[in-house]
Amino acid sequence: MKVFVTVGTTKFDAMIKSLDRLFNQKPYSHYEVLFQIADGEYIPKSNNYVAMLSNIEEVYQEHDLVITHAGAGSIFRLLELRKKIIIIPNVDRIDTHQTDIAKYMGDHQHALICNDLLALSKQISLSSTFKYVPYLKESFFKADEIADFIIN
Amino acid sequence: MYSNKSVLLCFGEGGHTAQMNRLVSKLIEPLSSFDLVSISDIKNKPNWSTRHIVTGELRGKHKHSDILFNNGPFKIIKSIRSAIKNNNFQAMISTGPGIAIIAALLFKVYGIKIVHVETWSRFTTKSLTGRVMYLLADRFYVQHKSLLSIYPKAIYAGVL
Repeated sequence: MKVFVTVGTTKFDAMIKSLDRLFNQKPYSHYEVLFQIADGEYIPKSNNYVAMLSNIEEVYQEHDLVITHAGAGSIFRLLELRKKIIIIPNVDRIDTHQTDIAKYMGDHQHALICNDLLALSKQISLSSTFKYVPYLKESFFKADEIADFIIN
Repeated sequence: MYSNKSVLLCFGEGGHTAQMNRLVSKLIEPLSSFDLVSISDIKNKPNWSTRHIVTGELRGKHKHSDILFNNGPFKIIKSIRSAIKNNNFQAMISTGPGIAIIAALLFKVYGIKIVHVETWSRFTTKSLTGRVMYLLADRFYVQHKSLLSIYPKAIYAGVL
């Protein structure tokens, strides 16, 4: 089982720390995990880690499960690639947008959500049998309208 | 003073930058005769930008009290006012976050068109920026249909 853990551009040490502790335990010894931690101060001990990746698309493809912060850019791309994902909203941030998108994706079964870092092991075992509903994205179609409004 | 017609593109770091880059890639052709002036808290000038202005952000990501203890808002007002004087702006377009509010308030005073594209990370709740920009913008676009029930006058545009 190959798992990729990603925080995007903003550090999220609480998530990295909880997952590192979990993956350090015996039942997860056959898991191959890569942590992407941005400018995080907590350094994972259980597995390999990187700060940032330039080839993140390839890395997504190489892993069976992606555990991600609730950044919209990461989520939309992962769902487009039809990846199995667990979303962990970063509640350390003062704005609530990560809770909003996570709740929407969870309510519509596009992803598994984990609001409680203590419940991570349950969500990880659920991910292998969970019936993910594909997220269908409609691409932006109002650019010409915006340009006309500005020009005229 | 730059005499060519221009548009102010206003955006913050992270996802807001990604959304602006995608939006500009679709606008660059129809707006080819315009100067694209960018304003952001990111230091690097985007490759599509004619001129780039760096500002602070309105609040930090981790503390509410930041807004009270920094002079960010005043610096932003100053830099946007001087940008308005030095450019022939026809409009501003923003993808958030808070910096857009200050730019929009000033653009409103000068009677210049305001377009806001609400962030792609909201589906069912209002962002602080969205709440205010809904009142200020001449055109307010949303990227998810689920937002039309809380922003009835918004225009659905699809996802960037």
